Amino acid sequence: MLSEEEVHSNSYAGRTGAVMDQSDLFSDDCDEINLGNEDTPPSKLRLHTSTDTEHSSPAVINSIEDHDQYIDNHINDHYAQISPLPQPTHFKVIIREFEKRGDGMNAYIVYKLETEVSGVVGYSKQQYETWRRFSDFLGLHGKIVEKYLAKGIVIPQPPEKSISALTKTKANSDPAMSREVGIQRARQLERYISRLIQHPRMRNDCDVRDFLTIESDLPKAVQTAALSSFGVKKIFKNFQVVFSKMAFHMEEGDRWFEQVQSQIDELDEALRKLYAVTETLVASRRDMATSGEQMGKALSMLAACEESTSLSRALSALTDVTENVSSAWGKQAEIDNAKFSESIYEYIMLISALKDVFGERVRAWQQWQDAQQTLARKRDQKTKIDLAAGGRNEKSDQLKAEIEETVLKMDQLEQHFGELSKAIRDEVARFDSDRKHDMKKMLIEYMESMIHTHTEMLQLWEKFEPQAHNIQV
Amino acid sequence: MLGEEVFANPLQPETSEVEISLNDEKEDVDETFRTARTNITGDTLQNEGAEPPVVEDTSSSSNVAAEETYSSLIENRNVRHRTEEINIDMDSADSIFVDISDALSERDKVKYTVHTRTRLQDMRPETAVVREHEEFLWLHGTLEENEAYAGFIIPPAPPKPNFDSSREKLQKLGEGEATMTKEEFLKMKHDLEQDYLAQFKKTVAMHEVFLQRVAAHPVFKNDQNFRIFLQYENELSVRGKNKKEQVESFWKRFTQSADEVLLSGQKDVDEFFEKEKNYMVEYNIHIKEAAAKAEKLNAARKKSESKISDVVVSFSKIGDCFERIARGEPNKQLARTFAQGADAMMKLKKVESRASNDEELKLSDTLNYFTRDTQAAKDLLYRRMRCLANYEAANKNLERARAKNREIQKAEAEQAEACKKFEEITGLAKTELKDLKVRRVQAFKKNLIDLAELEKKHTKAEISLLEDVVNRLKHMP
Repeated sequence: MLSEEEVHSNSYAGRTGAVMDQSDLFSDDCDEINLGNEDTPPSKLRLHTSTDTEHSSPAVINSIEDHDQYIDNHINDHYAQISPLPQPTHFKVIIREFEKRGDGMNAYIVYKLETEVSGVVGYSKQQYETWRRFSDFLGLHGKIVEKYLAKGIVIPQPPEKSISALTKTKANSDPAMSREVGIQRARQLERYISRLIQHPRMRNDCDVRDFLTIESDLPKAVQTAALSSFGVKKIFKNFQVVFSKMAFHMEEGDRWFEQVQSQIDELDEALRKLYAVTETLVASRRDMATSGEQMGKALSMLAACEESTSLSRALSALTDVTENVSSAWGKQAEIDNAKFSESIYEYIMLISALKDVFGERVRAWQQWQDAQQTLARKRDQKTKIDLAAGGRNEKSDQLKAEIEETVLKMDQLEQHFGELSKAIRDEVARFDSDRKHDMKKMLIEYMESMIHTHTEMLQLWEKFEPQAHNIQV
Repeated sequence: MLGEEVFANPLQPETSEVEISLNDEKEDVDETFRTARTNITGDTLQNEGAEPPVVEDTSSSSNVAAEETYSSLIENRNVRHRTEEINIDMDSADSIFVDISDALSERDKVKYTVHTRTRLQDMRPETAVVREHEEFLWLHGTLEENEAYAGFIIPPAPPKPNFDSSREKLQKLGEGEATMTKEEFLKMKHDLEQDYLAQFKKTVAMHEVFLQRVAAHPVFKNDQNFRIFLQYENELSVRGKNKKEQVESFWKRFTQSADEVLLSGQKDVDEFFEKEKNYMVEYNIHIKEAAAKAEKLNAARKKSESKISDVVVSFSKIGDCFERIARGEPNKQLARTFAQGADAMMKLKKVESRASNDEELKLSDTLNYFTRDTQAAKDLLYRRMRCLANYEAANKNLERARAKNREIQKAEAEQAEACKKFEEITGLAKTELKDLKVRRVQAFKKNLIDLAELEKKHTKAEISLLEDVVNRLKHMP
């Protein structure tokens, strides 16, 4: 649950951890309950709902929420333990709701971003609410990349614009389908934006601020259509990067970078493998849920047919257990997906962002090297001319000026490279410390969700046991 | 890679020359897969239940010993598990005690050592013979075909031992060897061997139950063929059905079902049977369906044959991934976190796998067992209907003979014969069907109680292991 992601300590800014305080969280929940009761039009699809008030909303959504609720409580304890000193800085974004607007081909989904902020420069209010559509996120991402990639900052990747999601939203009139897309994407967007504001530099960025605070619609972002020329360009650019990597091998002078890059590569591979396995886990769990459901049906038929009344009763009790257990499996499958599989995927994306930054560094180095070569060539030329002409002449003067210019440029590039390298070092340190924290949190949350599921099942079986003993022979 | 060769076809005798270093591994596999042996010393026999069953397992005995008490408890339960308890009175003079004391799995068949003890005068007091699955089928066939037993529910034949899935998985393992680390590979191999062993024990248990049911039966136990089966020292030289016989038995089934359809128009004089017949047909359909679905559930959880992966395998793979990440992780704390995760996943895998095994044993197997039993009851009802039809035909014949005033005596005799047969079968069938119901309720009760207990136990184990890990994770710096 990234919505609960507190602004976490980072070595970059050299600050110690900033953690939201608990009472804050609970008051949020209260707000949410009121909202849910009073002014939610039925057309709105609610992602995060409070258990007590929202039992009327569709079952799927509720099921997600049950676990969220449960986990929330535990997380609070968890943080309370880890950092007992809450800091005033508090910044989080939650996407609880989304709405489908428009019809047919013009249909799109808007997501409601609820921002809670205190102690961050540039935010005057405590709470903001904005409605943003998916392409707005992509537009924001474009701006951020332009500004910060060259500075060596790891920029989280927004969810990809998928054609299947597009068709599901636009062409399909079935609300369940677009809801499915919406729920998943809302989760991903929440992860994205939380990750973004976690970063000390991007948090204070004006575009991010506008994105979170301006209530009117943003100007429509160009370049974000799924099949736009931008996409083609992006592919072309990726190709270029790969090509230049192949053609131009950078001799790594820095042992540290060498080591980190190989570590990252290894981690990337391992995580990708892990992600694939978690997906099969989710699939098998879902499979279990559906076959369990079918078994429940078959058992209920058998129970209806059974002559012995007590056995029939026991069998129908077993039917209930089977059905409930299956639905627990189904829920667990969703949690497997949301808490485990998607977190792993987020990290895969972050690693690819990290690799982009490394690529940026290689590019800077290349430019610096180019400048060095140009300088050497020009100096060569000058000596030749000087020797040939045997004294000062116009050409030589011109070259001298050029050389000075190139030296200046080279110095700049060298400085840029140095700065970039330093920034990347900081970013990697930040990445590592985030990762340590995130992975631990993910594991704990995931295991706790399983404890919850199993506790539920234990109760079911405990209820069933006397029924089995009651069978009259 | 030589290792791949070993696993490419593990159950074929080796033809290629294998390096000495790999020989160890090869023998290891062969030991388990070619000659898996169980030595199930039932407590009803030699030592009156004092000693727990001895499980001989050449390759994994050390692992079994190392398991915690929780697991060994479960394992022992499973060895003793029978879907239905067959009680044989030790003290009566005319009882026969049968058990399968040993079994040997060979390349394409399993050899069961059938051990018999009795105080009957006309039998040797103690014998042990080696029998194969086909011979069990032969015994079942002779019982089914014997007209004198038409009124009984014939104990259904045990299902054919099926190790194809284990073999297939092993083959897949061999193919995937190149992509995994040595440890992953060994771990998976060990898991497969465990699966194989569980499967093996189960098939032994099912064959034993069949024999015990026959032995406990007041009439079948005196059957000549049964005696031969138990005591004839040499091979019975029953071969599997050849093509012609297969066609014949298929044809027989076919005519029976066609006959069943014809007979369905037959009015039954007895309301009990009319009801029972409809009931059995319906019950059989439902229980078969339930059994199939239960198996499907199991497949998603534990042993999928068609799919690449299931929950248990996923857990173990996730554990492997965590371990790998932990190894490559420079940050000590994070590495420890991942190591904890890996540990948890491995334990989860174990518990899930046991839970799934038990669910299979207690639920799917019970459903399957009674699917076969109700099928046998259906066959019995069919035989009775056939008799009824014959009886009515004889009646008609008698009338016709009387009208024509010819061969009256012969027709009368025939009619009397058919009548006697029908009444006999009706009487027997009635008690048998009632008996079946009692047995079914009993067995279901026992197995459902066990199921509930085991599910509770496994779920608790899973919760406590997860809580343990969460605690450790939380208290890590």
